[in-house]
Amino acid sequence: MIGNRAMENKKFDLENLPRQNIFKVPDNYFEELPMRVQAQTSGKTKTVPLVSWSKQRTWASIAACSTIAILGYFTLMPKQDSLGNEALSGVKNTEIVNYLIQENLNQTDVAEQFENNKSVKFKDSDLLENLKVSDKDILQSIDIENIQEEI
Amino acid sequence: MTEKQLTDSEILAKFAVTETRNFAFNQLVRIYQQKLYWHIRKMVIDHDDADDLTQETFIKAWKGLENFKGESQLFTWLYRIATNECLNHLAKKKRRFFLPINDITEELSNKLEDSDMISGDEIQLKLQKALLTLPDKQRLVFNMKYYDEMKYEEIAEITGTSVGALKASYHLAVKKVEEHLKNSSF
Repeated sequence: MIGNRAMENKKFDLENLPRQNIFKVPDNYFEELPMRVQAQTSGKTKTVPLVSWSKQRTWASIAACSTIAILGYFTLMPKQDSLGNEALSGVKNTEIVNYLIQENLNQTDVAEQFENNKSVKFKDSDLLENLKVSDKDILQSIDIENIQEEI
Repeated sequence: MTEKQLTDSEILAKFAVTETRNFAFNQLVRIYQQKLYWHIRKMVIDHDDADDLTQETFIKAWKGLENFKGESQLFTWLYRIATNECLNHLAKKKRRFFLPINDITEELSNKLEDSDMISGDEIQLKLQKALLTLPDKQRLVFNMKYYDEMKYEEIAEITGTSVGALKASYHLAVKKVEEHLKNSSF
């Protein structure tokens, strides 16, 4: 009936449709809502100043962190660079020489150390020679690997 | 025995005094809760969302009432908070799911069909679905004019839009809804 009246002359007329609320709420919803709101507001009396303070604190924290970072960069970084020179500046040359002698570090030791390193380098080729692998074998093994990869 | 309902000025006067602040605000909630809830519910469709937003509206009112200067009616001021809450909620929903408007419309439309918190004849359900095809702000204007029967001047105060723009928006909304209903099968 209502639909027909609203659809007269194939034109829908909203004014002829009754304004109806189709939504429902749980039982006693509006009786309980004021208490639920009050339960939340009673703990929020001091929240207004807290919010603004929090904003200030956030900005202050950012500013403080930036200051610390900038100060740290300009003070700590140069100190680290000069640490070695400054630490050795208080040590006399004679004391350094004495230390090296005490540790038995002389030119012969250094030269021997160099020779040892050199011999280690040659050890890999010695190993290949001991295996007695010919150039032909090496080339074959390379070919097999290639075939296997293609398969 | 029924309690005498406080006027807006009485509520504001009692709210200003620490001892009667809670009582005054409780009265404010009791007076305006239904109007605000239904205003929000028609926009967000879902009861749980409407419940959250109604409470949020009152919490914001609690925080801001101290600074309320009485330049507008208390009801208009509360409506404005509720309206902002609704629009922000719907905008957030769209952003959160990265969904186009049509998908949000479909989501709300499905709620209309599935929720046990909704009852009405077919044509009323179709009207609600047709309203969901309107942009949020236009739907808001339609609801305030059509369902709440508010004056354009009041709606203008709430939405911050000129009366002329509201008249045009409502007129267009009615045409769109009627066209949508005419084209949908009965």
